[in-house]
Amino acid sequence: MNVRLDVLWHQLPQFAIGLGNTVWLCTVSTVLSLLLGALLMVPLMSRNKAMRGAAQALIDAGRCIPFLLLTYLVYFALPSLGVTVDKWSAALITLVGYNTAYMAEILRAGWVHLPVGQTDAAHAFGYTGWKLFRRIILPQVLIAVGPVIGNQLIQLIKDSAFLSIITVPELTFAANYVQSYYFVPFESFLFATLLYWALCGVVEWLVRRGEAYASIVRPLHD
Amino acid sequence: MTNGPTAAVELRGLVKRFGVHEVLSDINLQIMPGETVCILGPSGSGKSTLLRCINWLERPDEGLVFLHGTHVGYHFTASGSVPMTDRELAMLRTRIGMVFQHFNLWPHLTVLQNVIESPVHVLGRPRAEVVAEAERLLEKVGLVDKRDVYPAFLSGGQMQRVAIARALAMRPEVLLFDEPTSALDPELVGEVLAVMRDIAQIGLTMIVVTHEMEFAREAADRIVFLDKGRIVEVATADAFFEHPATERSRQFLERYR
Repeated sequence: MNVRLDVLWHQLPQFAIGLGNTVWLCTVSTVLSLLLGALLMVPLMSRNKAMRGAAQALIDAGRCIPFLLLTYLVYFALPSLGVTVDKWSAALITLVGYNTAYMAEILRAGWVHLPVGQTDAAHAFGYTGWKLFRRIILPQVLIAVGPVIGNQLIQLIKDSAFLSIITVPELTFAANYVQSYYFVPFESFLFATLLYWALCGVVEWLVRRGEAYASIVRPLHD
Repeated sequence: MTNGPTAAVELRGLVKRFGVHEVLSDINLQIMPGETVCILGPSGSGKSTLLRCINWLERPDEGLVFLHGTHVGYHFTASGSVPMTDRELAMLRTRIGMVFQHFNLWPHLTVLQNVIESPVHVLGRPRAEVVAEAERLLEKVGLVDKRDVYPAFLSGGQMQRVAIARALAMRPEVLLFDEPTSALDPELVGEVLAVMRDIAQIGLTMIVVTHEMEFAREAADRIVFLDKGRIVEVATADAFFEHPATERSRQFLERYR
């Protein structure tokens, strides 16, 4: 078999654009879904049972739909309701919506395992409501669940490949374009795979760096 | 209300139940400004619950709590009593300092950040002023060199001294200690008790739940002896240790001689 590295070499810009789009789509949607997930904590941990139920239902709905199907719904089904979105908006809506459900679930697990003494102390010092959440609970929860969020980010990077189906020019789309144009499926798909591995390697590395920090600032007692 | 000076803390007819189990029964107690009061009693006698009822971390089922004459937990109006909102309770709690058995320092904040956190973010005092005061307090508890260290790098005794500085930084009217040395290795107890003795001397009102008889005897003005959720005896420290008035107090003290 004749491996066409020269084609890959000449098509590097295509891959670079694809990789770049994958990176920014995943970064932006991770940040947004973390923010929205954190906001969802408020009804999810509320004392009001109806509020809790509604938030839980929303999260379950998000978690229990295949990513590809959600993409179809947003891009192809919404226009039937008169809502038309371009492919970029559809990509972001899908990535953010899908991952918000997971992030909320991850953050909730971290909150539930926070030592009771932490909120006790915060209450005793006059913290309540949003300030208690933002200054005492959320930082500790984020530190505790950092590695799980890293895992979720890897999942998100892989799921983003489905966006090639709605012609978002991300990495898988680029690989598919190059292979079909130059008839180099082996080279093109293998190269894309290597790039996904590298991307996930970077995430893993960041998680390990974060872990080293977390071991310093994680509760040891209680 | 009583005549004479207003009590720093007053408990009137306090009852607390967990399910059907009554952990506190008809607690009546007045603690005067500047007093150091030690609450003694066997495990499970309700000491910690009593302390946590003062700042409403536990809501009493019956009875009233006063802080310098102000109701804690309820507003009383002509038409009856209204429970305080979370925010109102929070503001009242800033007037009551608390030191916990397991320190409960915030692990994501350094020593200095732990001390300035609530004065800056709850009381809204200017940061520079609070930092200066926090440094003085850390000096007082002998930990100014640890100001930028995270709690995970401290010994239990050091953590508890930081926790005391953190409570003092709120300039509380009353300071509650919930078994502050019970989670410490024996060789670390002394350093924490030394700091507490210093505070008792500056005249801050202190309510201390403890098993440290030596400390209670030396530092307390009065002893409250609790058993099975009831106050059995209230006496000056000398009287309690030298001439306990009840058979139950005598039995309890026997075990510590």
